[in-house]
Amino acid sequence: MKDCETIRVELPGYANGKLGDDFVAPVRAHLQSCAACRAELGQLERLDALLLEALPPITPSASFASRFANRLAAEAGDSESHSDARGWLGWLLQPWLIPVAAVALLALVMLQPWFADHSTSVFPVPVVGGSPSTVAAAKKPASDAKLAERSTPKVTLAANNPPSELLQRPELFVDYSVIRDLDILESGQGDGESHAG
Amino acid sequence: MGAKLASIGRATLLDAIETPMAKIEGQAGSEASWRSDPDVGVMQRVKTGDSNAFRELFTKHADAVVNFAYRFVNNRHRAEELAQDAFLQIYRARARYEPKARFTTYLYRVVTNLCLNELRRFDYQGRTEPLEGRPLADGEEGIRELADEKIPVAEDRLAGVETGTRIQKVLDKLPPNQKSALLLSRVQGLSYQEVADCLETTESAVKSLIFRATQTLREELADLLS
Repeated sequence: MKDCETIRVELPGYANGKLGDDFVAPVRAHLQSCAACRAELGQLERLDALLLEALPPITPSASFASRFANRLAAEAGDSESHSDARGWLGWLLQPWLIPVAAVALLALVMLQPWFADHSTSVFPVPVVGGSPSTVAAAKKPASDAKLAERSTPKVTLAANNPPSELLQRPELFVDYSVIRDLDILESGQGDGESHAG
Repeated sequence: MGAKLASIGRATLLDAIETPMAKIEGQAGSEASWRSDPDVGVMQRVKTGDSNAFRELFTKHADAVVNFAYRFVNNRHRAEELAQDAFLQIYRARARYEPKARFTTYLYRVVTNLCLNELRRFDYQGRTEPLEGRPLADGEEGIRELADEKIPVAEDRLAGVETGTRIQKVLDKLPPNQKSALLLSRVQGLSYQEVADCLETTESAVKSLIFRATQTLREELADLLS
């Protein structure tokens, strides 16, 4: 029985001649003495014949070859355009350009604190003040500013070091001098003010 | 029966259980077999840019590849597309081609993988089409010709078509790896070693796959075999 189990795995290959020589001899010897395996072999041979008979080969459609030729032509065209694109990219990705770009990026990262320190000279610092009059006083000549200083307390801030609570209050960043100028224009005092300034 | 066969049997079962589709590195057909394969030489010409050589390979193998894919997915149009995909894939990879097996082994490995992917992507269970003629579109009703009982040839033909449809349905029910092994071996005529190379498994695992596939076919088609 054990032999039959082992042999039956080999029978499909034996039936259609796919077994190697090493396997053929023991299978043949077993078949001579085992009627059950011979019957199974007969069934496998009928199955092979049935598969060949009932599953005839199909013929591809008439347009099959031409459709493939079109796809192949498109493929060849694509690969040409890709090689053109590679030409441009190839220039951009030249080996010597990569370390240069890396050094430039590194330098930018390392110099970032320096840029931050000198940002006051490059970018205008928002005017921060307690009230419109305080802000306006800051823009006036020194004598007027002194007067304003006496009348209202002045909020002084280090431009590079604003307290975090102020940063969270965007309304404090409004330039009130603009509002004041608009008020002056509306009240008709603009000329006098500007001359005085 | 000698100990040799017993050990072969054990190896077959273990392979089937433990490494049914495992990738076996370095496994390829015998060198003598592929060195004498003329298609390998043609493929090497393709590698050097000879487009006529590629046409030669396509003309020689396209029909068989379409037939294999058709038995796999049971849809003529899709089978043709899969066959084209396989040849395109080989064309795209031509520069990297290194002969390690017969060309047909290489070709059917590509086609089998495409077909297995196709089965994974779509459910082909029960989606059959007539074995002859074009497939019917969704909702389209086919014209059924009644068999003339006075014409035995027509009756035989109809019976043949019915048998074919039935066999195809049984094939479609087989697990994909069993189906691949059976079709490559029985329909395409590849040797067990070539089937093993295509499926990236061992020869003994292939024997086991084919044995189980034939067992299912025998059970399902018992009335036709008696």
